[in-house]
Amino acid sequence: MSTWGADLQLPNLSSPVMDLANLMSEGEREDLSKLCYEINTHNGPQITILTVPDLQGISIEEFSIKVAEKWQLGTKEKDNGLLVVISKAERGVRIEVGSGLEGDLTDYETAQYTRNIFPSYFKRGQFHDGLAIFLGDVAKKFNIQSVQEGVKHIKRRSGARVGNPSTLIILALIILFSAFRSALSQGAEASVRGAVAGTIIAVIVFILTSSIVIGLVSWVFGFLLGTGGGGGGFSGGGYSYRGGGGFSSGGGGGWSGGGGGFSGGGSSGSW
Amino acid sequence: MKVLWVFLFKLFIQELQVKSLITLVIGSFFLVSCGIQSIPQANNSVDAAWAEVENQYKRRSDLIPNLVNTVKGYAAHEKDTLEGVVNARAKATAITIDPTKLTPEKMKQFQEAQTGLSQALGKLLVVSERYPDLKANQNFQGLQVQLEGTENRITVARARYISAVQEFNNLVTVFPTSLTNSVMFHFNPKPQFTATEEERKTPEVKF
Repeated sequence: MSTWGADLQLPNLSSPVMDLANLMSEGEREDLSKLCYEINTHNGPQITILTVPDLQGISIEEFSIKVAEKWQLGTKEKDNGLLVVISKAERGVRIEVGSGLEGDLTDYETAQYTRNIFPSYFKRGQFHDGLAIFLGDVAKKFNIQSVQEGVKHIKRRSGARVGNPSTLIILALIILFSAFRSALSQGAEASVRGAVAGTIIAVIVFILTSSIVIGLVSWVFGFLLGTGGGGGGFSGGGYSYRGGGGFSSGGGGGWSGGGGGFSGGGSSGSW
Repeated sequence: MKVLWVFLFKLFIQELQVKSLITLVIGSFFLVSCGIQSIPQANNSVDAAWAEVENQYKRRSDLIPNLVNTVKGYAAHEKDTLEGVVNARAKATAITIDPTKLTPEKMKQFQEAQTGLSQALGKLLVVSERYPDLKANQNFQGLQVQLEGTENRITVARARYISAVQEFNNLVTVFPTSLTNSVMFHFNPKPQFTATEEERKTPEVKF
């Protein structure tokens, strides 16, 4: 395997979060690192996140398998490595699954992240949140409670555009418009139609306004909490493990591959 | 008399030291570089790499019946394309090669059959673009992802086979290990994958 990938500059593995493209803050990197350590110490897979400024002119699949071959994440016995590669310039993302994990994490399952969940977060620059959701879901597969607790506060965002507020508003306007037209043109049935239309409008208005009200309330709360706590919009202090000091492995532990093999499983997407 | 004995003894020791040093140097040179160990090892890794290549191609073939059935449900009148895939699959699965009997001719046959299947599949996927209902089908989407993952695995397995063969062929054709091979093992160089012109044109399975 010496000839394969000889002329590429591949980074050396030193931590679970190799944010070479600088997509996250120091605190966010630390958070994700802790989650990766926690998963690994509880017999979960050895997950490593790599962000790169660009892919040096090759496809993300090729790049990621070469990094995986170099780092050999996971153990030799279990081949339980998991590599997430994010490239900034190409806006690509790939989950590379160790050959021992292909049954636990099928290509189709990884595609839910690389095609739906990751893009919906990454587009907004929320790399930490998207990745934390993924780590939480992997932890769930391996019954690692502490990690699941640690990511509970992160808002789930699905890639599907079902709940898009603009479509709701357009829908509401159409119904409103037709309701008014029918109310104006027909005199006799107007009362019945008006009642039906009114109900529909009321429901829609309720949904819209209630979400606005919820938003406003949470904004006010956030503002109050923010002034008390020190500014940040996200209430980042809520990790249960921080208070309890549940992570014993943090800090000094090294992060290096254990000879795990990869055979190209996983999926890619763009954001 | 005693002096002579001491002199002879010293000479004997010296001779012994020089001889053992030479034997040691030559011996270790042979042990490390003669290929007695490395040639069979490289041979085994080529066999393993080939098994993985066939395994991944088989994985792709296994996906096809399901894929064809799903497409049939939405695009039944694309009969030619569907039959093309079924036939190409039959041809491809008919050729399996025992890694110990890898010859360039068999390799070529294998590659042609698999390339034929790749092209038939490519056509099928282009055709399926025209059916929005099919594209929205959950089962079809799942199969697409699996197919894409399998194509990637094939690429990886092929790359690994290529480098395993390269290492093996170097051992059996380049001095000094080639000498050991011609005396002891009589291995022929293994056939290598070649990217044919046709293959380069094969549409990539991307969605």
